Amino acid sequence: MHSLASAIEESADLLLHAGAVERAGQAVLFPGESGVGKSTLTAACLIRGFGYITDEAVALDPDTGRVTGLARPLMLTPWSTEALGLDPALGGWSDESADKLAFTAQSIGARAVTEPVAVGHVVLVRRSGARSNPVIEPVAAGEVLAAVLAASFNHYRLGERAWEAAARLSTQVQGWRLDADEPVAAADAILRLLPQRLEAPTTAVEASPAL
Amino acid sequence: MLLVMADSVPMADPSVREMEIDGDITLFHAATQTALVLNGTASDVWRLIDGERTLEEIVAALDQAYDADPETVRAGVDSALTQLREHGLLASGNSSISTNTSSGR
Repeated sequence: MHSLASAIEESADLLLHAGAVERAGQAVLFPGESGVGKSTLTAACLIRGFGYITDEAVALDPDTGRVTGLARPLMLTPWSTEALGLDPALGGWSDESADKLAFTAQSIGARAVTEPVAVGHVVLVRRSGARSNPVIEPVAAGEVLAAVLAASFNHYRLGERAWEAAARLSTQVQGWRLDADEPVAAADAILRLLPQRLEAPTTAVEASPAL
Repeated sequence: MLLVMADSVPMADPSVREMEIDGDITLFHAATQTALVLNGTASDVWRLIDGERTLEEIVAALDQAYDADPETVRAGVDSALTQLREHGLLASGNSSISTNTSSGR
């Protein structure tokens, strides 16, 4: 997906307003409106080793349940850039938004994921305002579905097919509500949701001698 | 406001498709291309709408299921039915529902 405007008019995929990152072959989606912090959280996840799918929109293939992202750099405000500890010199001023810096995934040290990815988690992000530590709790599939439908760009074109795709997605993923303010701590909370890769033991275990 | 009669028999619009996901009901209304996710109470009300039960029977069934006073249950059922009707999810002309500008049910 290269142009959101043309995709909305033409795509057979369900287009969702969402940030998305990848780890261990699973996509994590952050659906939500502009201003909720999708780009900042996406960038924080990249700093923590996730692959970059998008900070703006994903296309969900109704047949496979896999997503691809809108290909564009991450758009970060100066506040987000500072909060993430990124060097502003790594970004360039965005053509799309005058008050944002554009960062490629590579400039943050992350890899760009362009192939379709199965969705493992949907995280509904909410700025807590008061909490110092992020809180992440499971939510029911119905709440995920409502958020996915609300985040859709083109459900009006796809009609029933959009509803079926969103409902299928909602039952196949784990849904979470994340209350957080500090983006890197929020990324750490998301990281803990995912299975950690087992490291090979550094020393061989010797069999105990028979008694 | 809507006045819902106790002997009215709500019935789902035939163009509504439903799906249950982890205990909640989601509906798609083909005529308006509208999707809706029902909360717990509305899901329970929807399950009891079969074109035969009256409003009073629906309230009575939920009275037994919920640990709440009958007035609260009745208010919840009225609210759910009103919203379902506003979204076009109930068939028209099958129940005794009329408009009333006065307060009260």
